Amino acid sequence: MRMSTKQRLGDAGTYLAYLVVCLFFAGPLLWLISLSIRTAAEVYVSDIRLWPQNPTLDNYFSVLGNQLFPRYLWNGLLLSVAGAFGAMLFATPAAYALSRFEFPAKRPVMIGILAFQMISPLVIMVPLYRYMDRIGLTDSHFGASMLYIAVAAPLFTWMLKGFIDGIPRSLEEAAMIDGCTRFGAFLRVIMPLSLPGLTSAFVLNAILGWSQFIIPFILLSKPALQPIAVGIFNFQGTYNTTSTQVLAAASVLSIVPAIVTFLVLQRFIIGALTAGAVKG
Amino acid sequence: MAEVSVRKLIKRFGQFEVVHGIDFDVTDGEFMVLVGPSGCGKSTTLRMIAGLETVSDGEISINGELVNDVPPRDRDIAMVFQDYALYPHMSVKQNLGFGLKMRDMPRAKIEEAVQRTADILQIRELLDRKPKQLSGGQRQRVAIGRAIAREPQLFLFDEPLSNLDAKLRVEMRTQIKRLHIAFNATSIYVTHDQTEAMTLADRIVVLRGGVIEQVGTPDQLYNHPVNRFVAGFIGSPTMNFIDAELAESAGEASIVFNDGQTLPLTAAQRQSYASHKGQKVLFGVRPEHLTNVFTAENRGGAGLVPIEIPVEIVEPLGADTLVFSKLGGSEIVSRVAGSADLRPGTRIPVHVDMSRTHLFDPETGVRLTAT
Amino acid sequence: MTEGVATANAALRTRRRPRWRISEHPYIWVAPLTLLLLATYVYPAVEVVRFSFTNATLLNPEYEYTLRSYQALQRNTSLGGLLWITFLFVFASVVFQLLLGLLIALALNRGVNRNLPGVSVVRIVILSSWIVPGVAAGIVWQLIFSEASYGFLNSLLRDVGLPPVKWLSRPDIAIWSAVIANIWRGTAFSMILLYAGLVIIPKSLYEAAAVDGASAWRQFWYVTLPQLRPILLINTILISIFTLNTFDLILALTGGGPGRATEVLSLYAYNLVFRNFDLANGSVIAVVLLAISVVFTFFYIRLLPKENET
Repeated sequence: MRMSTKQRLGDAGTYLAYLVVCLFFAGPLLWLISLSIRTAAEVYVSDIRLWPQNPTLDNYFSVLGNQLFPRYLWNGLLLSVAGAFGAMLFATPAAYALSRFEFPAKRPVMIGILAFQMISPLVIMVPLYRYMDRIGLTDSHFGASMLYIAVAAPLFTWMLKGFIDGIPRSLEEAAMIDGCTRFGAFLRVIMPLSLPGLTSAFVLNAILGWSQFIIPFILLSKPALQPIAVGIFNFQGTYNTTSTQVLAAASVLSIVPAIVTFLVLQRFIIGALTAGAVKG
Repeated sequence: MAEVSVRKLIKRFGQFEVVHGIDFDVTDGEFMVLVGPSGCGKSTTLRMIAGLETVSDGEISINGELVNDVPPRDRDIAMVFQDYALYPHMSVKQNLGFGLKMRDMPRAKIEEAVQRTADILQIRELLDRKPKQLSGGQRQRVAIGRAIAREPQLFLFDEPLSNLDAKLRVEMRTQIKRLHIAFNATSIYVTHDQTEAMTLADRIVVLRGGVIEQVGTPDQLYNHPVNRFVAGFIGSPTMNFIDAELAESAGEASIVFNDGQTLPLTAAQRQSYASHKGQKVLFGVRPEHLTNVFTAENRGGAGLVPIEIPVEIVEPLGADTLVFSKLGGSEIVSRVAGSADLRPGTRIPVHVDMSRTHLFDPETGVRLTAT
Repeated sequence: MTEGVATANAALRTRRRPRWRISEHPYIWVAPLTLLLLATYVYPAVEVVRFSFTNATLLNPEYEYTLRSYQALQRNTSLGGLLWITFLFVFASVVFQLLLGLLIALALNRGVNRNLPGVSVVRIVILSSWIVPGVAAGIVWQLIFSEASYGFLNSLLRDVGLPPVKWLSRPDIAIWSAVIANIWRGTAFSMILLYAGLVIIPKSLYEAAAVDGASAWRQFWYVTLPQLRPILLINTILISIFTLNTFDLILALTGGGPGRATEVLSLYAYNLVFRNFDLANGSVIAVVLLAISVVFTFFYIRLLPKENET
């Protein structure tokens, strides 16, 4: 294919745009990594260089050696997975019903699912904190998990419904004629076929749960219970002025699990995202 | 084996009524076809018999037992879907055996039944494949196999051949017919294709707009359609309809067309239509009865009237040729011998087999009969 | 017939049939989710409104109903500034995230159309910024904007001989620093939506325009933009809602400062309830937040295609 000069210029411009964009979006993270492998002395070096003269992994050891930090990571994993998993339990039957049945409450439920995603956890925590305090659910992973689940459930339902819409109804009809109850058809036929959709929704909600800040910030005051999102905030408070490089290492550690999960599973996630928000 | 009985069946979706109280019976071992244009309610009726749609009013009975509230799994039926509905995540073998597994049959017996079914449909070598690895025709055979394996009392078919190409369709049609002869199972088959209906059915229910137009054998529908719709729906190419009047011509009761041309009635017809003299009618004659082909049946018959028709368009089909022409001021189609060398602009001589023609009331569409 | 099958079928026909089929009733399927949503969204929303009409605090379990909190809201002199900061933050975020998202989506689209290598790499890099937890993004940008000697931007400026900027210590600049951090974090989402909108525009529309004599710019103006209109609207609403609810990014970046220069509504509500333990006044602000979200959501739902359309 012959390329005209115009096209070549366009291509060059496009690549320039890509370069600038990558610099802008990747830059801060790369620089964060750079900071995290510096010694204390090198942090204050004024000339800009990505790779320090004496790179060191000491900061990482220091962070991981901290009593609480591995705890933070673990709590983060626990809460985000529990949230995604719990959301899946609530969302899956609801998504099936919303996809297959017609009933009067359907429209309000669908609107509710859309609308509730837009409410900030802060707004719901304001009154909820009071009640949870009285029942004794503050400072408990159980209470926090319930909220994580509640926050993830609408999105999970929405994504899953879209996916189940794509499975032909004749499949569960065939199963019902073959001898299943509707629930049996749901378990034996729809569920296995929903696996890709379930995985996308699960992974996405787990990643979002990893970022969840307001709920644990308000609900969990004991550091041993806090997830990484709050933990890294605590770290900022402690290490900001004294050891920036340690803070940087901690920040990298807080980001890496989410990014790695994303990179490995990105195909699942991206398609699911667009389908949901645009088609509604 | 089963008898199915449908009484005053009504189906409403919200305010919208799609099936307006229909009645029919299917006897034991019969192959009954529900046919009609899209939207006529045939699929809805089938699905109600299957239990996939609830019944708004009326009764469905299988073997004398009311099944309105019985879930599909308890009706002992099998269904072949238009899109085959093969479980994508299961192998062909698992698909075939699924219904049997749901009935808690011991594994050895299931294996036996699956092998037998695979032999009958010649899909033995496909047993370990997944549906997406199969061609359309193979999938269809697996779908039928899944139904057969269950040996149910009633088979239901929902337009199973619609997704196949023309050649496969003919092949599968014969296959289904052969299976029915072998198993003699009561079957209800839904299609919009009248050829399928005519070739497969013991009896046919013609539906339009949620109402039954006629129930009868293929022969009955072809030769004695009860109204214009059925007459036009059954038979391909469709029957020719020409506006006319029952009047006197040369002292004899005749059909008089708008352009003045006339056709004499047979003696029997003159008697039957005596009371309708002077009325406007719709004259119906099938292309195959407006022809130059003489069979042993009608050669030299009294009802043959020779006429000439202009040749406008010629469609050679090989064994026959379709001639698009005009008669009585209307466009018609005539089916003539294929060997004829016909040129547009000429006229050809054909005979109208008056004993096979029909008259319909132009307003109600009902066929005029002896009164 | 096979003996095994016949027995199985016979057994089936004599099986006891329950009167009602539980799993055919849709309500069973949606009940758990509905209850969960009622408990965690509807109930708190009602409660927040209720508390705004009281003088409750987090310390005292007793309270009484009063309009004083709303009156206090009216008399609140800092409220105007607060609303302005919030508005500025949201508005700037929306505008720039839309623009940047659109430019990137266009560039990506061009890359895909011309089979340029490396497009997926760029996409992944951008999305990674969205995956970063908000609080971590705040920390990262706080380090970048920092006016200490390790601060990236000021070091950069120093290297090229420019004077340092008080990114986080000057009130009028701090809010823009927050905007920049938010743009960094949020553009990826906007880009995905717009990209999805771009790829479904039929090529034949562009070809028809080209044949009609439209330049690239004209094609953009008369074909691309109108086709993107619904998505641009939806995008605007979503970015607005997400930005309005942003809390962790700002908290980690500036803590609301300097002074109260970056204290957006959500931060203000948090401080009222959980720092001052003032449940009533905090609820009033939360109600304001809720009301704005509801209005936005209403338009979002109106803009979505109906169930049966595509």
